[in-house]
Amino acid sequence: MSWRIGIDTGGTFTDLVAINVEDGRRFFHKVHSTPHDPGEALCNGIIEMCAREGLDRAEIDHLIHGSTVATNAVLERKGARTAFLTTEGFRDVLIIQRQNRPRLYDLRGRRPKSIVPRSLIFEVPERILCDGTIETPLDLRSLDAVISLLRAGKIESIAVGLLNSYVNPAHECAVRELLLHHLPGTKVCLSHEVVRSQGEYERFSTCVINSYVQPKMQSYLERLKSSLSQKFLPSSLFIMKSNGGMTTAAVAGERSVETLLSGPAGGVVAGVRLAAETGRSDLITADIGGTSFDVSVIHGGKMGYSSRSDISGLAINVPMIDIHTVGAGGGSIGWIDAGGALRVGPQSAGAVPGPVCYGRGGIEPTVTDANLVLGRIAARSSLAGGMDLDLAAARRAIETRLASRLGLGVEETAEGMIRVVNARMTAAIRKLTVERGHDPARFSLCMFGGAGALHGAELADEMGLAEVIVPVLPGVFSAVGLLISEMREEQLQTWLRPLDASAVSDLAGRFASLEHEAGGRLGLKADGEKLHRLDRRLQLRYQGQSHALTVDLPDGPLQIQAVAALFHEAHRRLFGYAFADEPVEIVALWAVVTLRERKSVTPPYSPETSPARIGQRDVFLHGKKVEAAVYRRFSLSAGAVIDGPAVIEQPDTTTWVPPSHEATVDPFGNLVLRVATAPRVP
Amino acid sequence: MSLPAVNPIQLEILRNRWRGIAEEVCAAMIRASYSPNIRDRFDCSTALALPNGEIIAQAEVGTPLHLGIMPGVIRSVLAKVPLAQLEEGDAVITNLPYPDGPGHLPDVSMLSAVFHAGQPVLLIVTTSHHVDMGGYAPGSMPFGVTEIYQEGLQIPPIKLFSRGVMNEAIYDLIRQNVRTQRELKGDLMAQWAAATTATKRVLECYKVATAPEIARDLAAILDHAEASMRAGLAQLKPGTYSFEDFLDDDGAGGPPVRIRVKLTVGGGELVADFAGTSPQVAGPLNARISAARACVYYAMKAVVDPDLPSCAGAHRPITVLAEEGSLLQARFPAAIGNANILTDQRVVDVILGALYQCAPKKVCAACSSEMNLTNIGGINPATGGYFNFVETYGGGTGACHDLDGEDGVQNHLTNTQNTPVEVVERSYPLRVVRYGLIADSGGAGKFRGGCGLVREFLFLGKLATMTLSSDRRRFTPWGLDGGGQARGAHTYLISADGTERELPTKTVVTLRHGDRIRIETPGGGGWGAPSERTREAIALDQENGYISPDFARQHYGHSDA
Repeated sequence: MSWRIGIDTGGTFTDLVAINVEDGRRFFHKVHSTPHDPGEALCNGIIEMCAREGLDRAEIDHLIHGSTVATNAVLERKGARTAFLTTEGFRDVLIIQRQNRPRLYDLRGRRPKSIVPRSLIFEVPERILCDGTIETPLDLRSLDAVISLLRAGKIESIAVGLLNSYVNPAHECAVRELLLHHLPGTKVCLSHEVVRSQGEYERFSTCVINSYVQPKMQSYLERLKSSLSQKFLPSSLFIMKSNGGMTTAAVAGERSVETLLSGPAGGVVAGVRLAAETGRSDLITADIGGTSFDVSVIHGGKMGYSSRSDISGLAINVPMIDIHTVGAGGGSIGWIDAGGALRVGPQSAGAVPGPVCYGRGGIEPTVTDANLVLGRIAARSSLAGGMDLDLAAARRAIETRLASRLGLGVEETAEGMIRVVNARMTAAIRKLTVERGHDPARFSLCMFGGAGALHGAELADEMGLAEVIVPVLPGVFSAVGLLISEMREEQLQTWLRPLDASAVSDLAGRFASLEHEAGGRLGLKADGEKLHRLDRRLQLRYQGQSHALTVDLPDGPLQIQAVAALFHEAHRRLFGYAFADEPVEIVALWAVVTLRERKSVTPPYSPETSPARIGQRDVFLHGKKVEAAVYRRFSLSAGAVIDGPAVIEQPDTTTWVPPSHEATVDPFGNLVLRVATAPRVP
Repeated sequence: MSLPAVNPIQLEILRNRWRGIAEEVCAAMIRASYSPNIRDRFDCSTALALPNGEIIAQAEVGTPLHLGIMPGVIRSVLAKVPLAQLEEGDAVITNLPYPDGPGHLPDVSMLSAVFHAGQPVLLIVTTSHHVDMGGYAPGSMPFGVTEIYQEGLQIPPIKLFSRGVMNEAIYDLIRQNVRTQRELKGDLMAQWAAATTATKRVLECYKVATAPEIARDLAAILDHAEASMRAGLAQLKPGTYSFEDFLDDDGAGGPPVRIRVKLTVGGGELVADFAGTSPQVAGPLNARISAARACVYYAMKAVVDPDLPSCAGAHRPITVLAEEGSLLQARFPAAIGNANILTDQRVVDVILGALYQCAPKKVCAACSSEMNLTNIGGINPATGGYFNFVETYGGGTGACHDLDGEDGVQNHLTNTQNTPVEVVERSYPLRVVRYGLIADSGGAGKFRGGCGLVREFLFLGKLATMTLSSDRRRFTPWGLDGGGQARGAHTYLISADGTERELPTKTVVTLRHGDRIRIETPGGGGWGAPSERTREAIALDQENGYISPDFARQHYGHSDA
C-alpha cells in the first residue's frame, strides 16, 4: 500500500489529506499551525492522523507540501540580509520601481519599501547593450567593498541584476564566479536565471526576493527533511509552486520565489481535476476563507496563467496561476460610510479576534455573524467544528453598530451584509471572466473554503451562472489539490523578432532548448524516455504595440499563417478588434514541461448510513422567516436531490440551498446546486 | 406610481455595479490600446453619464485630470450634435478644449449613447491621450507657440462612427495630420471597443430593472456621493483660506505667472475662487475652467476621502470660479497644450496650501508638481520609420505632518509608469546612461521631503526634436510648518564634444547624434523644523545616501558621518 499526504499550511490551521494511491481511500485532518516552525504542525499532524486512522507511517511514500515559509518571510520582512549588485548608474531601480504610486488619491500612500536598503545596493561598472554587445567591460575590482562586507558577515545573500542580462548574461555569471572564488558557499542569485525577460525592475525585483527568501526556505526544508527522516521512513518531499505544479525540495530551496503564491494554487489544481472528472470544461473556482476571496478561471479544462504578478506591491514575474484576490471573507467587517451606505470589508476581524460570535473578543460585526443571525449556520451543532457560537452577541453587534444607525431591522441588516459582500465577490469574478474576454454564463462555479458553500448559490444567481458545485471536502480542497498536482517546470524567455518564416522555423529549436533547461530541473535526461509533456506558448503583439498576448501553440510543426491566425483571433476575442494586415512580432517564448503522472484514483463516494435529514430551523430570507430542512451531508447518497430552502451541514462547512433551488449529489459526492426546474411535489 | 426609495444596502450594491461597469470599460480600453501612453501610462478614462451630462461613474486609473473635463466634453458635443441626432452605433469624437472639452489636443474624447426602447438613456464618454495630434512638434505639446493653431490638429465634435461604420474620409484627414498613424488607429479602435463593451453592460442592467427603477437608482448614487462629500467638507474648519504660488515663467520667456486661490469652507460646501490669478499668458500654459475643476475635485477627494466615488454628486457641493480671460479660463485661441503638464499641478499645490490652514493633518507639503514631460520624436535609423518617445517624470513628494515624503514617484495629477530602460533601448534610438535619485534634493524637516529623480539619455539617431516641459526651477517646492524648500528642476544638454548647457525649463530643441540630455526633477518640501528630526533618521538618511554629510551639517547642524 502506498499513501500520499498533502499538507497545506495556513495561518490558523494546517490541513492534511491522505490518499491511498491504489484504492483511493482518503482521510483528512486539521491541526493548529505552528508559525514559529511550520514543520512541527506538519509532523504532529501526520502522526496524529496515522494514529487515528490506523495508517502505517512506513507506507507513506510522498509528501506534498504547500508552504508559506517564503511568503511569510516577504510579508513579515524576515528574510535574509541581502545585498544587491547592479549596473553603474542604476542603483535606484528597486526603489523607484515603475515610478507610479499605489493609490492615486492618497497623499499618505507609499510604495512598499525595497527589500534591500539603499545602503546595501552597490553599483558595478559594466554595461551590456540591448543587443548583447559589451559596451563597458566588467570591472571586477569594484566588488571589493561587497566582498569585505561579506567577510565581515554583514550580508547573508547576494542578488545580482545587470541591465540587459536577459540577452547576454556574461557579466552576471562573471560576478558570481568572482564572489564564489573569494567566498566559497556564498548564496548568489542572478537575475537572468530567475527570470529571462525584458524589463529591469521586474527581473531585479524577482531576483532580489528570491535571494531574500531562499536561505530561509532552504534551511526550513532541510530541517523538515531531517525531522521527517527521524520520525518516518524516508519518503520524498515535494513543494507546491505558484504555477500549480510541484517541485522537489531541492529546487524549491533554490527557486523559492516560485513558491510565493502557492497558497491558493492547490484549490485551482483540485478544480481542474473536478472539472475533468465531472465532464465540465469551464469552471470558476472560488475560495472563501476568513479574510479573502480567491477566484480563478479554468477554461477548456485548463487553468488560467500569468507571468506577471506581485507580492504586497513588489513585482515577481514568474509563471503562476492567474488568481484574483479581494479582501472579502467570513471575517470581513460591516461598517457605514460617510454617505450612509452599508459597506463590508476589506477590513477583517481575521482569526484573532475573529467574528463576534466566536466570543474571542471580536466586537465588529462580520459576515460570519450575519450568516449566524440569519440562521444559515447553526449556533450549536456537533457538526460545525464543534464550537458553540454566541448568537446573542452577534445580534447585539449588528443591532448596535449597524441596524440602529441605518434604521433597519437586525435580520434585514444581516441580509444586507451578505448582499453587499456578495456584490464585491461578483465584481471579483467579473474581473477574471468578463475582463479576460470570457462569458461567465458558460461557467460553473466551484465554491470551497470554509464559507464558500454559504454564498455560492446567490453568487451564481447574481452572475447568471447555471450551477454551483460544492466538492466533497470544501474545507480542505486546497490540500486535496496538492495530492493530485504534477511536477511542472517552466521557462520563459524574451525573444524579440518579427513573426516571419525564419523566426517560425527557429521556434522548434528554441523551444527544445527551453524544454531541456526546464526538464533539467525535473531531473529529466536529454536522451531519456519521453515521460513528460511540453506545452508551448508564444507571446505576440502587433509591431508598435506595447504589450503582448499569450497564445497556446498546438503540438507538432508550426506554420506562420496558423500562428498569426491564433494571435489575430485572440486579439479580437479579448480586445474587440484585430488588424489582419499589420505585421506581428514575437515577444517571448514560454515552455511548460510537465512530468506525466500515474493518475491517482478518486475514491468512490460511499455515504454513511445514518439518517440524512436531522431537523429543521428558521432561516431569514427577504425579511421573513422560512423553515429550512437541515441535512447531514455525508448521509446523502449519490443521486439524492434536496429542495431549498435547506442547509446541508458537514464538519468543515455548511451549504445553503435557497428556496427554488435544488441540490443534487453527483456520483462523486459533489453537491450540485441549480435553480429548480419545476416546483416539485413533496 | 412612486417607487420605493433605495435603502443603504441597495445603495452599496448599486454603487458597486455602476462603478464596476465604468472600471470594466476602462480596463477593456487600456488592454485594447496600442500605444504605451494608454497601455502602460494609463493616460485615459471612461465615464457613464446621464443625458443631462451628470457623471454617474468614472474610472480614472492614472489621470485625475479627466475628472473635471467629462461634463464639458458632453456639453460641447451635444451643442454640436444634439441627442436627437445620435443613433445606435454612432460615436462623436473631439479634442477641442474650447469652449469646453478635453484639456489639450492630444486628449481625444469619444462620446456615444446607449439606447433602450428607442430612447438614449445613458452616455458613454472615453478620453485617451493619443501619442500625436500633429502640429509643430512631435507629441503636440510644443513650446514656442502662442496659439492653439500651432499646437496641432483641432477636431471639433464630429461623428467618426455612424451606425457602427467608421467615416473613412474623416479618419484619413486626421491620419494625414498625425505622425504616429498606426498608434492612432489602434487607440481609436480601443475607444470604440470600450464604447461597445459599455453599451452591452448597460443594456444588461436594463434587462433586470425597469427604466424608472434605474433612473431612481442612479439618482440615489449621485445623492449618496453628495452626502459623502458634504460630510467630509463639514469636517473642515469653516472659514476663508487663501494661498498663492507661481509658475517660473509664462512658457514664452515672460515673467512668473501667479496662481491664487481663495477657498471658502462652510455649511458642507466649498467655493474655490481663483480670482487674482494672472491673466492668460503668451505661452501654452493656459487652461479652461474644467481643468481647474478637476484640480479641486482631485484635492478634495485626496483630503476628504481617497475612496470617495468619482461622480457628479460628489461635485455638487463644490463651486469653482475663474475670471474670463485669466490663465485658468483663457480665451480662444490661446495656446493650451502644457496646462495639463505644469499649470494644473501648480493649481493643486495652491489648493493644498490653502487647505493646510484648515486641515493641516490632511495635506502634504509641495511635491515636485511638474510632470517634467520629455518628448523626443524623429526618424528611427533602425526602422526608417517615425518614432515618438514620451515620458513624464515624478520627483519627490512633500512630507506630511508625521511622515517623510516619498522619493522619485509620480504625484498628484499623473501616475504614469516609466518605460523600462531595456525597452527604451530596444525601441528607440536612445540609450539610458543613468536613472536614479538625487541626494540632497528633498526639503529638510522634522519629516523630510522626497528626493527628485535624474534620468540621462544618449541620443543615437541622426536628428530629433525634443520638447521639454518642466517647471519649479525658480519657485522650488515649499515646506510646511517650518520644513525646508526642495531643490528645483534642471535639464542639461551635453553635446558630443562635451560642452554642457542648461536648457530653459520649457523649450523645444533639436537633438543631434551623440547629444546627451540630463533631466533632474525637483524634490518635495519638508515638514516641521529640521532641528526636530531625530538623530537616528538623519543617520539613516546618510547611511542610505539620501543626504550627504554636508547637507546634514548645513540643515540639521550635525553629521554622523
